[in-house]
Amino acid sequence: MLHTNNLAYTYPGGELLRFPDMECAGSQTLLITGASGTGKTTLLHLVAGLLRPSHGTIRVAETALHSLRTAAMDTFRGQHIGIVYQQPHFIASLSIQENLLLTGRLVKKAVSLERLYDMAARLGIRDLLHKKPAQLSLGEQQRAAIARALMPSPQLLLADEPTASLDDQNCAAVAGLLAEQAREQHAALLIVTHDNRLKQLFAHHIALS
Amino acid sequence: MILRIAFRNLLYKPLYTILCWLLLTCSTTVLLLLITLSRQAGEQLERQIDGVDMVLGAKGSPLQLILSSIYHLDAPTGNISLAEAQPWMQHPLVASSIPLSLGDSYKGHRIIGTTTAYLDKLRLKPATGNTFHHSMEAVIGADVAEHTRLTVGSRFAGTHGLGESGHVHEEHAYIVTGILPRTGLPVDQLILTPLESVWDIHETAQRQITAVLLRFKSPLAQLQFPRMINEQTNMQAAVPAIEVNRLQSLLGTGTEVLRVLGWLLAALAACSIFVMLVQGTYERRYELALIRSLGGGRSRLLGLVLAEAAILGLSGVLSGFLLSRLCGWLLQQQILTRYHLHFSGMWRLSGAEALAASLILCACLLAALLPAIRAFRLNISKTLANA
Repeated sequence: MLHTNNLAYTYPGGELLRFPDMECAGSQTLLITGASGTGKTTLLHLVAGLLRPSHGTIRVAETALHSLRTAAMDTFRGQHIGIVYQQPHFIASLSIQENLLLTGRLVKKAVSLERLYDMAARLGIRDLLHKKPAQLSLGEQQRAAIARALMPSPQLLLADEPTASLDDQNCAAVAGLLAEQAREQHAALLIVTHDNRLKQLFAHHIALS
Repeated sequence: MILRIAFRNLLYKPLYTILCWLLLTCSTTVLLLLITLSRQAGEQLERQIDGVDMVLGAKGSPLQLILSSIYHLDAPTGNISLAEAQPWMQHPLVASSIPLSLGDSYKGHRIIGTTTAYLDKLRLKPATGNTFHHSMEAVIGADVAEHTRLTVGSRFAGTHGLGESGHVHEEHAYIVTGILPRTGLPVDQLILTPLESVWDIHETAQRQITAVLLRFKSPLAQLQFPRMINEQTNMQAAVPAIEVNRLQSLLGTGTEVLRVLGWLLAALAACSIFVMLVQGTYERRYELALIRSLGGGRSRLLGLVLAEAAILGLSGVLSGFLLSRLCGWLLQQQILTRYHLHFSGMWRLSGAEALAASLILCACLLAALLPAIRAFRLNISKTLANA
């Protein structure tokens, strides 16, 4: 599902960062670990198509991501890649329900309300759908962000430090939830983190240095 | 979806939104009201001098002569003797002449001594009753009938002077013979009677009139008459077209000041929209990056910011339009009837108004352009990484 080869990124300052090759099949989870400053977020942004690599190739769902133009890249990302950020952010003026439906509407991909309610129920936010994001607790926002990433049935699910701000119990719960949802949808799950607690939960990791 | 987000964003910051909307509404109201008022006033002023090439009256201010004899606003300049005016009235180059004698009123409505030629010029016939034929008969305008409740056959006594109070000529009572249909012209406010009534009441040695409205057969007379009369007689000739132009240029200065004020308000509205959107796109930069990370293209962000300005602009211009019409209607009720101005076609949007409205809309979109381009060029990776 995800396949990178010889990936490198040049920062605006000229510093070159090389990344090890990665491969992650559907329903699999790959953990990218490393201390801060090792380019974890840069790697995630490259794979998400938010940044362009200076060298190498990225293939997501049989598409050469690195060769897409900006507009096509935005649409491809909306259709095939779900991203969970470290800080759950939403469109503040829209309700949670509208936030969850946003991706489908932006890329004109039909999403049924049934699927939304089902997803919300499984993540325990069924009663919060009509609320504004600011009215939710951090943990609820985190779960809503996961629901949003999963709504359009992505083939690749990316998570950037999803557990950094959570206690041990919630950390395990969120990690389990991500892995379970990705497995159910046959999506590849890529988690970048410096959280050592996650290393015990997932078998495949690549460490950046 | 983008429109919906734009709408929700505006509602999410209600105070900013209301400020911009108020400024837009005020500027649109001022500008549209000004355009309508000056257009309507101009039309009204010109409609009333239609068919009057020259006014003959006593020496004094020509503008005052025109105002008193045509618009029935100011006090008359004085009286002239009928004998002196007659040669000019019967001159071969004169197509028609309408003598007027002013001086009395009834409950604030002017009593005008004249001939039936006055009604002929307006192509008017009483809606009920008949026109006047003899001394002390009177035909009243529609507003007079409504205000004083006089009907055909009623009797009333005139008051000396144009004010509400004064000597009442009780020994001479008028009888109403007819009521005129509503016209929207000053005649609605007038009481018309034969010249003889005025002469019978005031019993002067010499028959006097206040003014004569003249229409010429040829433009030659238009050139010669005013100079001949002003130089050779102790009467005055005033040309309505010239005086109306003068009046409009006098009013024009005031209008100009208001117009500048209106555009200043519009500029202020555009500035406030600019500030709101610049701050908004900065505060919501993460949301903008999020929209792109969820699959919305860069053009969506451009559209989002422009849509916010367009929604504000459209609603402001629309409410400004409605408010300007409401103000126009209120002015009509309160002030303009006193000046015998009657506005029509309230809901019509003239070309000049449409131009002003679209200029305001353009200013809104222009104010949104820079923030919109900033949103378009947002570095999403950096924004998302620094959140």
